[in-house]
Amino acid sequence: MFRRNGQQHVTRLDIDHDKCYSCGACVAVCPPDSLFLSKLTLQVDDTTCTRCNRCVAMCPVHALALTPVESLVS
Amino acid sequence: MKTSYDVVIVGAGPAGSAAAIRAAESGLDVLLIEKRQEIGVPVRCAEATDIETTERFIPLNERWIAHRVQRYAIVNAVGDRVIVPPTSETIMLDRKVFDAALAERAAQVGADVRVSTAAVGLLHDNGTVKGVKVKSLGRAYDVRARLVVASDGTESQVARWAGLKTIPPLADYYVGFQFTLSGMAAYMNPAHCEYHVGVETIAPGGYVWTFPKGEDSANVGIVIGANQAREVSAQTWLERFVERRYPGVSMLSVVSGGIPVTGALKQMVTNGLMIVGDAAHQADPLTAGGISLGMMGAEMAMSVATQAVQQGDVSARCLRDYEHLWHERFGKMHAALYSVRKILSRMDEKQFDALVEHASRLPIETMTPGEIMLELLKAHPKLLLEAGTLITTGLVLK
Ligand SMILES: Cc1cc2nc3c(=O)[nH]c(=O)nc-3n(C[C@H](O)[C@H](O)[C@H](O)COP(=O)(O)OP(=O)(O)OC[C@H]3O[C@@H](n4cnc5c(N)ncnc54)[C@H](O)[C@@H]3O)c2cc1C
Ligand code: SF4
Ligand code: SF4
Repeated sequence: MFRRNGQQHVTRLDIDHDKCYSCGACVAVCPPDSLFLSKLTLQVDDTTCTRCNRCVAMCPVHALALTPVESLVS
Repeated sequence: MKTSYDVVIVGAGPAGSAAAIRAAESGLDVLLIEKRQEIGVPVRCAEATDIETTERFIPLNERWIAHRVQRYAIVNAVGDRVIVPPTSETIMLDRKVFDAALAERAAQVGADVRVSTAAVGLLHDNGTVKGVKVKSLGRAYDVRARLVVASDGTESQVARWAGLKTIPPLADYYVGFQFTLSGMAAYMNPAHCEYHVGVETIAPGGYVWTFPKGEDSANVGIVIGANQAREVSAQTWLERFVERRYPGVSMLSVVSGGIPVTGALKQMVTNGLMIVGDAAHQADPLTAGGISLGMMGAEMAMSVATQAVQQGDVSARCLRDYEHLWHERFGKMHAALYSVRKILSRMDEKQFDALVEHASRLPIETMTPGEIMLELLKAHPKLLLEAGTLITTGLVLK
């Protein structure tokens, strides 16, 4: 499920929708263009996100995190 | 529903609506689409802009002018201030109302406007953009156009779909946060817009602004370098500032956002497509003000587009005149402003405090920028090296 180029990702981008203001700043800096504001809800394309951490580091309200997959599944 | 136009404009912010106004005025058949359900909401802006540019596009109306200011003040971390007149008269907009009024103006001069309509892809034919795929009010369809204009703001994806490189380095991207505060009468001069600068204690790589919206309310916000936001977020930096400086105020609204401060992209056109506004990184690379600049960019783009569409040649070669117009008008100045931002972010806070303290004792209003710079250099020779960059870009001593 979390594969890209045959690689297993151990993290996944986690969006805290309670914090997020849908400002689009993270969309602007995402190299593979994996983020999208559909109307006003931020969405991530898990199949193309490279876990580069750029969006996590710059979000004005720190609403994003790369979270270990197991902790999301459990 | 009509699905074929001369020009489709994606995004109804100031740049998109200004483009729609100019294109419709020159007789083109225009569609302006906006993905939000209501134009201008939520606001992502500190709302200061200049009258001169604004009124070239729409008659001034008190419905969207919240307040007027007379001066700008640059304030250091210890409270010294340099007060300067604006280069053109400044108004504080009510952007919710302004953005809607500008789109309405576009409709009045003949453009079709559709909200709740998102561009989700491009139509191509032989390496030329030929229109957009949209999702509109729950339906998906194609809109064909001779020219597509990407005015989709900071989160722009349309130009990327056409293969243009638009992703800024984090060092040249500002992330911002803002409160509209009430109870500010005791803390500000309602006729002054303030910039608070201090790379260590106020805003790393950026600044805090206090822009009055009335006698007792103000937009108080921050931008910091996106590469300096990992440990402490823009929100937290701003909360610290407000707690220290403005105890007891109330919060009326919150804004989050980001703005590229690279200076305009070198490539702003491709076959059948032009980019304007924040999507083209046209905001001021020092202050990040982008309302007027985006509208001017849109105007330049449409002056070139009108001819191109009428002559039936929308190739990049033909549209490129727009890039030349922009770089002729703003290229040098924006390169200089970009350098100033780099210099400020390298200067330590004490150095900057001393500079502002010195400048606060000069009769600034009677001096040219060159005289001010020379006077500061005499007192702070270390600045000579940094000033070299500015002089070569032609900003300071002309
Ligand atoms: C915190 C903050 C404070 C600021 N303060 C100031 C200031 O005081 N003065 C100033 O001059 N500038 C300021 N700016 C910058 C200013 O807000 C922008 O430069 C300006 O809004 C740019 O206008 P625009 O039309 O290019 O983009 P926007 O105003 O961002 O408009 C883009 C529009 O496109 C829409 N859109 C996006 N994608 C799609 C799609 N796929 N389909 C359809 N529609 C789409 C969006 O919903 C949006 O409405 C500030 C910015 C921030 C973040
Ligand atoms: S930058 Fe942060 S607040 Fe803005 S849309 Fe992205 S996650 Fe949400
Ligand atoms: S981690 Fe990197 S690739 Fe993934 S969404 Fe964020 S910026 Fe994009």
